[in-house]
Amino acid sequence: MTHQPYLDWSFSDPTRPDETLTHAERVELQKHLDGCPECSRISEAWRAVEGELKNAPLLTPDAGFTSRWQIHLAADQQHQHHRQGILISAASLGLALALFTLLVFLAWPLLRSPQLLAWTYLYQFVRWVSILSAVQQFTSSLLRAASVALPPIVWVMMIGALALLGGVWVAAYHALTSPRKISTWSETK
Amino acid sequence: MVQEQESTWIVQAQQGNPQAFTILVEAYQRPVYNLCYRMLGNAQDAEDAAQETFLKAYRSMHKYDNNRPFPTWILSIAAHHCIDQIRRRRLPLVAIEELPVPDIPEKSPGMETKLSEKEERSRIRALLTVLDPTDRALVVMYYWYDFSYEEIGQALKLTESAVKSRLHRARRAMAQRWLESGPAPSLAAERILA
Repeated sequence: MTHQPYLDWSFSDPTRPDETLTHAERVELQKHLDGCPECSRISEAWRAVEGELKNAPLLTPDAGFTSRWQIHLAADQQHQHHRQGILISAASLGLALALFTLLVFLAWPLLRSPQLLAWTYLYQFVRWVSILSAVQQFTSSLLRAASVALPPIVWVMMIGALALLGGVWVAAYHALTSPRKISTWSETK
Repeated sequence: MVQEQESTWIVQAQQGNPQAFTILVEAYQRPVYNLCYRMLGNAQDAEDAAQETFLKAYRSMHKYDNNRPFPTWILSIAAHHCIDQIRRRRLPLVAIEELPVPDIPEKSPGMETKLSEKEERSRIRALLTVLDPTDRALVVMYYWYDFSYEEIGQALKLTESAVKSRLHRARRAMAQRWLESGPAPSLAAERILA
């Protein structure tokens, strides 16, 4: 005798439409259970288990779960900020090291003769100083010409706009870097 | 109306509003905690898992598909987290019968109710511990939240036929466990593991 279909029927949940047995199936199952003590025992055990599962309540966490979650979230965000800081520092350090390595690689022929290296650095230094001096001269002559050409109100507006942009930049930096404050559940109520 | 309000909170939470998400935590703490408790078997682990579930959900709100029911999504996160916890820890399971019987203190008002609640939790835990973590999640979703096969499949990433066969296997294992251990296992397990 095969017990499998009767066991399947025994485990079916009468409250679920997709598991409900037809009248004929119920009669056949009952007939089998009446004559098969093993299936009957399993069926009874399952009914007891099912009763336990269906009567078990939803458990509730200790009071203050939401407040604890908010503390947890704040700590997690702090941790994330800390991690981001470490990552940025590590990336900057890595980049600096990579650039230094590249520099050493490029300057390697020069490093073999320190005299040549010194002359090269001196040449570069003089070159940059002369470039900066030229830029400074150009800028000052430009400003002199502009101060004559532009009326004072335009200067005031330009300086005001620059100050405003600076203020916006500081505010945006502050908003992006400071963690958001979350009010507690009791405060929101 | 409640559904509409919930949708509003969800959208606001997706836009990065932590207060809207806090309202969702308040609303779903009980089902999430219950699933974690039934999966892990003790209050402390359940609290930690429920907290972690909400944190994961908060971080993943931008991935949440608004066409999907929020309870299915949040309970799916909780179930996967608990499954990972159980697999990672590989907690040794001690047979209920092997645990020592504690001294029962003298009766006080309300004590009988507490004892009966503890016994109920103990019996349920004894039944669920015979199941593998995925089957445990499946049984909890089926019996506590009335999820359909399709919803369970979505939450646990299983096909409907896999859900049916796993449910059948789980029912059989629990019935077997009931026959082996009797209807009222010792209260000791609850006391020792709590």
